[in-house]
Amino acid sequence: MAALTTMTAAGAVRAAARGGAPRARRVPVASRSVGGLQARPTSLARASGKVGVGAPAGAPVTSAPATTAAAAVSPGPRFHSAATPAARRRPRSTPLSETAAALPSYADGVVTSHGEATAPPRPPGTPTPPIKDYPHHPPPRVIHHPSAQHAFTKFTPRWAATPAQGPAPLPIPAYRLVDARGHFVAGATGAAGEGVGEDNILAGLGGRPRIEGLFRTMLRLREMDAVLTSAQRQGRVSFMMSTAGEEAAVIGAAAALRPDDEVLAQYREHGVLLHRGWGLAEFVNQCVGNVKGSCKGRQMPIHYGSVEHHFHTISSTLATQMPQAVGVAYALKLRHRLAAAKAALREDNGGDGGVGSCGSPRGNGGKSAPPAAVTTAVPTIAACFFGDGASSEGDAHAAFNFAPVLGTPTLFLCRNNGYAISTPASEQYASDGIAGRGPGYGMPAARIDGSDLLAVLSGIAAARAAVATTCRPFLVELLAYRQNAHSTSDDASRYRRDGERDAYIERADPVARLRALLHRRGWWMGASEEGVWRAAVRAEVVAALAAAEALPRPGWEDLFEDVYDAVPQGLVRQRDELGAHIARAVARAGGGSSAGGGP
Amino acid sequence: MSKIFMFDALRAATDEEMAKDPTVCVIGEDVGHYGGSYKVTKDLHSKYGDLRVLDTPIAENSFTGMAIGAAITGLRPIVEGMNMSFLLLAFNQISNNAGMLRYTSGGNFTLPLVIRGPGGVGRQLGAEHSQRLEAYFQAIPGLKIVACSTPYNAKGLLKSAIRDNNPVVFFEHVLLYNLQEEIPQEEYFLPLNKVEFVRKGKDITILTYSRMRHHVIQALPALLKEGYDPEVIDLISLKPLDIDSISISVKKTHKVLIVEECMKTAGIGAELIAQINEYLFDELDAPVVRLSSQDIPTPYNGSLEQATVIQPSQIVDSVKSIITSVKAIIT
Repeated sequence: MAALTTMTAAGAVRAAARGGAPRARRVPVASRSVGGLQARPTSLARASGKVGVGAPAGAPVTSAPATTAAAAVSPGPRFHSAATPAARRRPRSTPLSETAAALPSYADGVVTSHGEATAPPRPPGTPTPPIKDYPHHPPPRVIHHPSAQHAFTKFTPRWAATPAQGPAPLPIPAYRLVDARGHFVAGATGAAGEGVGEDNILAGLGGRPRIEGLFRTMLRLREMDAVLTSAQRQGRVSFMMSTAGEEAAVIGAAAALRPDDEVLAQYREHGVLLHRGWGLAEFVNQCVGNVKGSCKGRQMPIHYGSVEHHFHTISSTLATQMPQAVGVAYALKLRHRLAAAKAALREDNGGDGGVGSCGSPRGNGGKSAPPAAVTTAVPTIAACFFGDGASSEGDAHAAFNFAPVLGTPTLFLCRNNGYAISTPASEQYASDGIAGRGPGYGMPAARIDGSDLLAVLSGIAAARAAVATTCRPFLVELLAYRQNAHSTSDDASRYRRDGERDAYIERADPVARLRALLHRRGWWMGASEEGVWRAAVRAEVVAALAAAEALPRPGWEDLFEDVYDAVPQGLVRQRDELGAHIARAVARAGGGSSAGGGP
Repeated sequence: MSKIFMFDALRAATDEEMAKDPTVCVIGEDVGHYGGSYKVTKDLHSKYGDLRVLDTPIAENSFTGMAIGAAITGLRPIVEGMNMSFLLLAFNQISNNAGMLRYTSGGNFTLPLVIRGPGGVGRQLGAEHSQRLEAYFQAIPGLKIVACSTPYNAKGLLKSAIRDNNPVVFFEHVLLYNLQEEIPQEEYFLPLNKVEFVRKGKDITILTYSRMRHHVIQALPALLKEGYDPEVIDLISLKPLDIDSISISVKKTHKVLIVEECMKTAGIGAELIAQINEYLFDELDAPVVRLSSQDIPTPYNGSLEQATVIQPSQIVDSVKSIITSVKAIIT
């Protein structure tokens, strides 16, 4: 850094050594040809006096050496030279207040978040104007899950995974154990060996402690989302996404996985972290963006990440996590094979295992045979969450193809919640949802009623077991319904039919369904206690939020850390420049009257 | 010392690192039993297995994303792009994820990843196979970029890149794979952030990289015959630019010529000139000149293709013109 700042002094020394002869660009700005882009003589020719510089009268070239010597010492004055004629200074731009007044404002109710003009807000009681009618949308009172191409979702009480290849009956039925009223369906059969019937299945899934515990986690998630959404409306958090309607799908999945299974998520899977024990403080610290936030204030709210909880930092770009999940699974497989091969060699040789071949990707006799001690099974897998909209991305196809070809233990979990912002699932794909694609890629697929916690727990346990034992991928589609808007930036009422949301809440709300089941079994805490408990959770979140806001935000010095493992020199320079600018701004602010003006 | 082809030097670097560290793996198309389109991974699969030298289906976005996930999970993957042009398909993963994930995760996730492959204008490969993308990637925060140009620096740089804990984009050139050079038998590493001084001189600083280094070297006899004494610097490190070494040279010569193969607009030269302007303005006796390819897709026809790439004679003419014009002022 020092080497660069002394260059100007060296430049002056060199100029002096040449006898002070002016260098080409020592000609001051004023004496250059006025008017910009016309062909101008080279600075070399100008300096040699061969070509006139077209300078306005009063700025003679002979003044150049004096300006040169002065300018040579510090670069600043040369560019803001008083010799610059007033005519060349750009006119001041339109003041902000004028341009702001020209735009319509939110207060008029005229401009939406996307900037289109809409009609002024309707007086209360006015019926909603009908939205565009699609010929294949049935009337709202019939439960038509928007997630499958077919008009009615078929349910099945038995786990019905399609084979990896070969015929698969379409539409793939959705695995469901408990109906909307909280009763077990006829023929309900556990997917992971829990047995048949209510008692066996409940016992096999962990009984009252586990199920009630998960109910509380679902409530906790719902309350946390509600408080943080209010906080966003109050301006305390810039952005927020709600998971209402998908609590069972995500928390059930998290409970069916091992705690150290790697999870790569999209953005609506806070339930995984909550189930794995991430504290409320962590959630709000990240949303508020303070120094203790997991990402040090560098990511949007909701973009959580935790190495300790095996939850990869959320990236805003859709579906990029899907090929990455294949890579994570590949790494888990490779590391397990290496460890096993090393152990086997150690047994054989009595010495340190060497590094070598660790089996073929296809797992069943590729070009090199795996050592005897290596089994196909892997201890941990990679679970990848994504939405119905994200499944249309190219990265999704790429991951769906790579995982079965390369034989990676990847569990694909699609949260089909019926909408991608305003695009209903019926406009997202023409296939049988996302599960219908599995056999096309050569991997088994299944569909689960994501509003039924027990079906999620059992089904995903079965899928996970298949992935871990065969070291091959599995595609699961969880049918859910996104009760709230995509995020705090859109208004779902603009693209949803009247009554649709209420119909789904009545029939497919995962919390209500589980509560009905618990109530029937006598495992429910009761309305008043639930109310009290939820209020306590709300208070806890509110307190955590206040505490998070009281913590400091990261300082500007932190801007340049973690771009690389060590801060390279170029970024050190940029950090110093920023520091100098901030110091000047602080001095100006605190330093009282100074000849202000310039930027 | 032993004479070795460039592709073999890259293979040797990969082999040595894979032997030392079991987490190093290679991912790409046709890298396994086929040995790689340019033979850089020849026979590695028989030594390390099909899992560590992984053949993938054709989806650059996918295997680059896969390498990112694998890097996060404790491996050190080397992604081979069959041609760097195809890595445009992986640009989302490289820019939005590889360059960013360490930062946006608060430093919690690290990505020791190498993305390597050939670029540059070949022999009549057509526009899509003749891309020079160094400048596209140069803007991405979080990446390191190097361009190798000889068997010696290829091996040393690739070994360093594999051991680096940041994502490194490693540019090779299609026409340089068959270059032969003697390299040391013993292990050596080259720094990823330093230039290579090809020739010391005092008349003019010529900044170049990759294949153009060799065109500059071919221009040297003509220049030396006429008494010019150029200093030739191979940039090697395109991100970050080694502005410190460049400034040492410019302070000596006061003139700069950039010889590059990329397109003129927003190329490597554009960034170089911006930095030279910021830090070395007072040291210049003349504007920095850049010789670059035109802003056109590379044509297939041989002589047309040749006309889009800077030839040694153009370099000679440019050096002479710069030095002559500066001498005219000073005398």
